[in-house]
Amino acid sequence: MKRANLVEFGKIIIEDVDVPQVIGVSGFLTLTFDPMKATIEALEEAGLRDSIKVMIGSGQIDDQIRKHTGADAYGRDAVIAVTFAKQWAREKQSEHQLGRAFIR
Amino acid sequence: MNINWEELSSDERLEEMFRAWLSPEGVEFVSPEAEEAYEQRITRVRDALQLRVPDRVPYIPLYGLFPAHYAGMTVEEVMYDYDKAHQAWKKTVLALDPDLYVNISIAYSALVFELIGYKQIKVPGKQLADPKATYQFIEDEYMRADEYDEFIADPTDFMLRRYYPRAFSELEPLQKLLPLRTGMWTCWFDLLAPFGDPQVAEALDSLVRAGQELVKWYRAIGKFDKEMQGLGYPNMLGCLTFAPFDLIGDSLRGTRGIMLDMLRIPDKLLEALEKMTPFAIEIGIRGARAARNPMALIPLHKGAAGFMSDEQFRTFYWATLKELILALDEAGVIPYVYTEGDYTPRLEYLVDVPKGKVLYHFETVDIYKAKELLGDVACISGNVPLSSLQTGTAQQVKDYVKELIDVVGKGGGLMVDAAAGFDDVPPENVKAMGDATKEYGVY
Repeated sequence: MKRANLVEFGKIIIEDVDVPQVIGVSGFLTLTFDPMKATIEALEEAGLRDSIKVMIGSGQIDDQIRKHTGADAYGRDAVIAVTFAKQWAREKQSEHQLGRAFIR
Repeated sequence: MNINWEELSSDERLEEMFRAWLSPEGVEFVSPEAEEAYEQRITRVRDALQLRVPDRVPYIPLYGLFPAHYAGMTVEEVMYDYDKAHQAWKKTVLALDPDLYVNISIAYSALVFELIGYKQIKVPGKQLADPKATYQFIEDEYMRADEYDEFIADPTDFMLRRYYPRAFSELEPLQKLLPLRTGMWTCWFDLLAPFGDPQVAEALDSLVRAGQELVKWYRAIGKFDKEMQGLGYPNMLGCLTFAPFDLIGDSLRGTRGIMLDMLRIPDKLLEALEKMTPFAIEIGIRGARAARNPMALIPLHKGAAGFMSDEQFRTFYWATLKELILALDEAGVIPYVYTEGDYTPRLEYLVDVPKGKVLYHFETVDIYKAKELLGDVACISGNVPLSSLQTGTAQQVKDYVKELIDVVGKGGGLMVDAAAGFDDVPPENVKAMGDATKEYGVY
């Protein structure tokens, strides 16, 4: 079980604790584009990227920045963040069910 | 300006403002070509604004702290050193060759902030660790929810004895003052006695020192303006004023506070907004006339879609903002309404202004819908995404500007600018924005 801990802009240390299913990164200024990218890269380096969905958001974020950072999705407000989280949770659940069905 | 404004119609007032903008005081043009270019640029902007077809789409980049980064300086440096700011901003204006320039006042003076201990701006390299970071505006509840009545009864007194002592650390002793409104006959004995307090005297001293520094800073701004105008570039901004909702929200109640007030004490908030509206109008008219420049920038901070409902926008935000827009127009001042955030759902309100009198800047908007609804009403600017400017290619920026000119520029009514103020952005992308405007924007 691991936890991502943001120490300072652009430098991320991953420690051993719980791994969440979804990470949401909020950034209201253009200054946050690169630190968001660095956060996702740190997840990759820690070998966690495939098991975590990452969403980024704020008024400055669009698909260009989603691609730039390597996030899975972007949104402009908290409501869309909830929608993404629910959708991903459902997908995960159906993956598990599919897995069980297959094993059976 | 020795003009009897009362005797003039609103059109005549606007005409006077343009006349003043076209003849800047104390400016010596470096050449006849520079003087001609100065006039040509204002005419271009005026045509676009008044919905006539100009010779070319105007390019009006309202950059943020880009000049500091472009000149290889830290933001901290340009906030403390007016000469450095001058160099950086001049380099930027010459490189971008815009139709209107933005002066060094956007870098602020950190010296002034220090002298009175202003708490609402965090300075990079000081309260912010990174000297290259953009300064940050810090909100707090400098007016409590239960103080609306006191504010509404006497806003000046509230500012002097409550806001200033709370928002400026050096002015804290001013809370010891009494309301000065009742100094008649010899009642002033009591009211003036607190000025004998040593701490109050110290606060007054820091006010004098800050005032002296402000004079130095204003001189530096004036020097910069004269030089740029002499080279043929008109100043973009005559003054800055704010939507009444933002005046109260940004500085007195904070976002959290004012959002709760809309639900808990709507009547008090509405009363305060009405009280503030004439002041917002006064800031705009006085500022524009003093600067001899009709452009009054109104950055909209809290009215974006997602911040409040449609009904809340109509009731709390738009009603007094519209009053401000109409009053500025009546005075011959151009409301340069700088929307921040998503304004697509607000377009149906924005159409409700006099034709050819307002400049609407957009950060995020359905630009096709904006043109469709506002095309006959107001000139549009902005919308070139910061995401492309910061992380895209020059070609991407060019393509976007071309699309913007093809769609929104059709028949006039467009000025090109980035979606919002930009800071540490690749210069080649900024250059691409201007090049594309000049290449594709010729009518």
